[in-house]
Amino acid sequence: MSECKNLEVRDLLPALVRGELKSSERAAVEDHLAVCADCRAELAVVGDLASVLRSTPAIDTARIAQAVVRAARERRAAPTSLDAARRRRAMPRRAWLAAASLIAVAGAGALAVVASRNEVRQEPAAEVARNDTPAVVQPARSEPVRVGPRPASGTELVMGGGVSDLADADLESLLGVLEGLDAEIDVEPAVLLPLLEGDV
Amino acid sequence: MTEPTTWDGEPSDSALVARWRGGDERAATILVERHAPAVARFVATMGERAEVEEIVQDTFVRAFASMEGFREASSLRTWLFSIARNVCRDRARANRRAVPAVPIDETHAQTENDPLEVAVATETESRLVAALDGLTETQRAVFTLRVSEGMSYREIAAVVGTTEGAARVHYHNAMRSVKEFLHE
Repeated sequence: MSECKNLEVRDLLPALVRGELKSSERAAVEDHLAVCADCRAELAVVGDLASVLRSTPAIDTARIAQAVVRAARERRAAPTSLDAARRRRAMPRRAWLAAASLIAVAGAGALAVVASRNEVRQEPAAEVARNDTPAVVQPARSEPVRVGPRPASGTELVMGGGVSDLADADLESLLGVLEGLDAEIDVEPAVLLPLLEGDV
Repeated sequence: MTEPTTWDGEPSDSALVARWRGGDERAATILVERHAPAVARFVATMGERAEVEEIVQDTFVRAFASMEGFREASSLRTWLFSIARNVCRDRARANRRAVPAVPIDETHAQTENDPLEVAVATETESRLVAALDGLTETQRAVFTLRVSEGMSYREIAAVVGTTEGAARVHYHNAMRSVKEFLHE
């Protein structure tokens, strides 16, 4: 059994059968069909299958709708295990935000320390600039390498405070970061249902 | 402000979903009437022909239970198909039984025609259904959604949880299998 390599035309055969092609597409497909026996054979298969698949089993839509409404009323009357599962899943989201807040506050503290150190380091350079004399660059090896905590030199690591100590601009920036966090799970419930129901 | 409507003036799915969320139970009836036949066709081709109505009902009950979380990233129909597929798979897992021989739907019978024509038509349909039953579950879902519902590969990918390209490959592999079966 041979197959035509023209996938673009073959992709359009179901739509041709359903009468859903634009006139320009239909003309192009029909031109191809006129010279391609493989695609004509495939079109016949698609047409036969479409007629079989399009037959609708007998269902009572009114009964189904009643069941939907009844289930919704029952859910409203008594929270289901699904609702409880949703509440359980909401917990990690709050924990997530709390952790993000802590990290942001710690980060702000670290930034404050770094900024404070930078101020200390810049003082000699500022003095040099004011004295208008060339700076003497000391070789790096003239100072012994210290391992361990730096000695106190007017800079202290202060971990106190919190969000209330942040300047307005920093606070706005922090809020922007927190709002940008996507705590929502980006899938439709259809994908989540098995998870929510513990069926994985 | 008027609510969005379809081309024939009926309320759109989005408008009905909003009405349902607002407490309008009539919206559920309209949505079920609108989408249940297509979901039933899909379920029937997924090998659950004996329990179609039950599965369709389960699909809609699940869907409406989750409607608050439906963010319309896909169309409602696409979402319903993906739930229906999950329900079918849950049932298959629960039952773990062989798919029964396929009874041809009575609606297919052409009782007005010559008995020989009916017999030939029924045999042809039986072969077509058998060809579909020879496909994998994913191939069958992709093939059905493409041929019967006219879905794009993007929509099909959303239903079966794959990529657009993979959906296209599944379709053409399914077509090859069907043609091979019919030419045996």
